[in-house]
Amino acid sequence: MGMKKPRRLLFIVVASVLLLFWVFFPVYWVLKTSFAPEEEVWNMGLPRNPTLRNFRDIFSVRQGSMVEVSGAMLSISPTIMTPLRNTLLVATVAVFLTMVVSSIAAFNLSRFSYRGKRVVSSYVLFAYVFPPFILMVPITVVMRRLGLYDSLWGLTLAHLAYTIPFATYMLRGYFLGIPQELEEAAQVDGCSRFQSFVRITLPLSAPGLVTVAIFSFVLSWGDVVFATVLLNTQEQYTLPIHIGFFLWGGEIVDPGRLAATALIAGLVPAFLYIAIQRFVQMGLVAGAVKG
Amino acid sequence: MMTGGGPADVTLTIPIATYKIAFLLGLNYPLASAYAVAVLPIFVVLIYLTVRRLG
Repeated sequence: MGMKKPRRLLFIVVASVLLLFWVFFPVYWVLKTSFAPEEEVWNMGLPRNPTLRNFRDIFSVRQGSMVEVSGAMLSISPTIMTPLRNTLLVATVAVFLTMVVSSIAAFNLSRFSYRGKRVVSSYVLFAYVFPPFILMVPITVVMRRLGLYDSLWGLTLAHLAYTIPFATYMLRGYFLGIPQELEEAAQVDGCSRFQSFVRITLPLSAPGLVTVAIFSFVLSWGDVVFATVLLNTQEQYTLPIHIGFFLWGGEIVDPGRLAATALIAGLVPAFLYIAIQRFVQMGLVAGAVKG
Repeated sequence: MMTGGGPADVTLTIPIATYKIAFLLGLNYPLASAYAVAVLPIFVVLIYLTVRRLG
């Protein structure tokens, strides 16, 4: 019995260390490579002569610049500014539309009674857990027909197919935790149903709304599948597609710039998450125990 | 995404095959859709179980 406890502890420690290594090694690699000079990018250790050159390059390299890979000269991407702006634009608009649509949908599902509500409520999740690759072809065909192929609006609409069901599901749980009597009291004082929703329910749901906004933003920010199939010109590319410029034929063309770009792509949602982590935790807990 | 299904299709998965057929090899949407629909029953069962548990 006395031997079992230390063994279990040892197992937990080893498993935790392995897990931490598994999770943090890619982050470490991106961090150290982004600051490494060209001759040190493949070293495993921290760079001896750290530099900001990679960051300077990704913000200043012009379209048509060439880089030598295995003896061949390849054209590399334009600056990170255009994809960064595109990604930010798509994610922000997607979050805004998601919040508007899903909060109304969630309010409907949490407050009103009607025939078929249970089915609708259950299958809101259906769309979210549907594998994106099955939707690749139909969404592309629809966007082509609508004239939204290769446009940021088309990509934003495609993202809504995933963010809205997820946000509705989470917000529904949150709204169920807010006493309906508060809205009824507001209605007694002269508010309409919609006004009570806007003035009472939404402010009380701030942690849930923030959580949903963050998750929707991250979903849209990191999307590769729809961006790959719906965007066709460099001016429209988003960050995940832009990162692909540094990968050619299964090889990393320019590790330093790849790492710097990946770091910036990862930093935005990370900062956002850290800034409002308190709200996110509150929102997650509330959504987990209700509905 | 990392391997693109290669070398010689040894790492090819259904999503990558669907993407290649639909968008890289002559825009064959019907065949790509057939690939997606072929695996749909598996997902329908999994989604149904997930929805029942969470919904």
